[in-house]
Amino acid sequence: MDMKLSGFEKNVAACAFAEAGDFKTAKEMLVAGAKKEGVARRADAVKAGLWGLASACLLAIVFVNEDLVTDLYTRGKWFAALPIASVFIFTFVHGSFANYFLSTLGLKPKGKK
Amino acid sequence: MKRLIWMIAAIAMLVSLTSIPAFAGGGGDPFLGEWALTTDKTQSFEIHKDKKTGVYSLKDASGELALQKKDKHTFVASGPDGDMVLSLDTSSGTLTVEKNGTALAYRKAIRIINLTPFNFTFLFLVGLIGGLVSGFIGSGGAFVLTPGMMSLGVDGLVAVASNMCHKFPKAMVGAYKRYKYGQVDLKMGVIMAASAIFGVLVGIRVQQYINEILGDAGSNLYVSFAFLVVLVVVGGIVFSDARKIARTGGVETTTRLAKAVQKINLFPMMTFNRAKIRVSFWFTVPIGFATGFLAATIAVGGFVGVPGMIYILGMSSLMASATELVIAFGMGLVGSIQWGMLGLIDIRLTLIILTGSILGIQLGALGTTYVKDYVIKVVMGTIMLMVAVSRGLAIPVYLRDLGWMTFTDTTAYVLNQTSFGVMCLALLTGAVIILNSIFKGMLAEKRAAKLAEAAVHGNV
Repeated sequence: MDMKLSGFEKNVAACAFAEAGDFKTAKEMLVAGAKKEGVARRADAVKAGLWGLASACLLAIVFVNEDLVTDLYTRGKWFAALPIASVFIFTFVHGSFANYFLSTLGLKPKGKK
Repeated sequence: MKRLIWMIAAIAMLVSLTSIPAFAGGGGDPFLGEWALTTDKTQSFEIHKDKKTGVYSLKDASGELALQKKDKHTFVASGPDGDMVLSLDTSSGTLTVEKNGTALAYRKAIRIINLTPFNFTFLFLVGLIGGLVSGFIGSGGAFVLTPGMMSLGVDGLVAVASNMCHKFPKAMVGAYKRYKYGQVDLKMGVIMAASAIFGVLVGIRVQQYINEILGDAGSNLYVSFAFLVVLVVVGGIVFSDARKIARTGGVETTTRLAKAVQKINLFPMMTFNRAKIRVSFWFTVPIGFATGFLAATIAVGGFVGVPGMIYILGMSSLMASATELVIAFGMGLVGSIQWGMLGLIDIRLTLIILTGSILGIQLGALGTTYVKDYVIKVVMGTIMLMVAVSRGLAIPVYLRDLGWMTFTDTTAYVLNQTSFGVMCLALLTGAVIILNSIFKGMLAEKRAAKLAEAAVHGNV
């Protein structure tokens, strides 16, 4: 049951159990929620680290070879595909990093734990 | 109807890709700056323009040569070793120099600026704050970047191109995030993006026409004046509306104008399920068009697009600001392809800005889930009015360039710097309001969770 509930819903459900007199279930729900949150945060931190590393590698490739990259990327015409494709790839990798990084910091949209 | 929408969008994209003139979309006079020989980049020259006399000159290793403008895209010069003709091909961005029967092709040189830790940090931070604002209000986060990059020594056109190339992936991430939060009306976004692209095309033509008639200073004056009028009028409406909503309990209501527009039954009527509105196609098009038109002329399309969707179509602030990100993606992608085809994108600058802005836009997007709708109006209204002050400060400088006002160079410098400072302050103020609102929203959520926990444990 708890797999499909958001953090807010879990709290409300726990309150409902407590009000109905089932304090054991209410407490279990909250403890389980807290444990799951801790595990999820650690998993997010690992993912953030991996995506962050990939993002840093992409930046390093560009900056280590900046003369070659600048030359190729500024030739115009069909070479325009290079900067466009690059920003798409970088956005995917760095966007994933940013997503997990914010989750690790506990910054999630309202209602998600 | 879905097929019709996609067809319109596809046609708009194709038309725009083939007809946007090169060097369009701002960044100043395309002739100015450094040009390098395509076959040997070590051979280059620079074209300068004297601000007071308006005279162009070519400077290379052998000295300086005065240029005479023959027409819009051609210069002629008489040198010691014969006449020289410089002609700019705006479709390819190539400057052909003909001398003694031989023609050499030059392209705009990408000036590799030294990316010091300061430059890196500056671009990252502006990207981060700009991303935060864009993620929250749907636009307006990148207007500091072009002048900011130029102040670091980046060529005006390269600054515009590199800024544009970071905008569309940023908008894509923001749109995706907010779509997941149920805040984007994709159908509305696609229709608006298609009409915005047409708006960009017309806007560029108008901008070029004004530039031909009034010259650089006159064009700058027009842009600043249009900026000022749009920002004061629309920003004033948005800000006073936000204050009114805040006083009356924070609940948004549909405007009378929007209700009247929704009642007009003009074929084809369209239902926007996410936005929960039904309105004629013909009312969505002008708003998209105006967004594109202003994006091409004064670079702040979202400042009319978002209020247009709220006050004329009757969308909520949350939905309008999120849908604006789809429009920004469409316009940004088309613009970036154009700039890329001219070879003016400095990918290093784009990537540094992106590192900050992708982080910022995700924070801004998730922040919208913690605040009441009207906070978006507060942030937007505040930024618009502050940017209006910034533009107002720049107007006397353009009037001076036209010879309609006289004051010293020092005063002009102070006015320009203050104008840029106020613009940065506008972005910072917006970011502070956003972070404060997110912080308060999160705190309230945590308090509610703790109260629930305390209620349970208190009973155990």
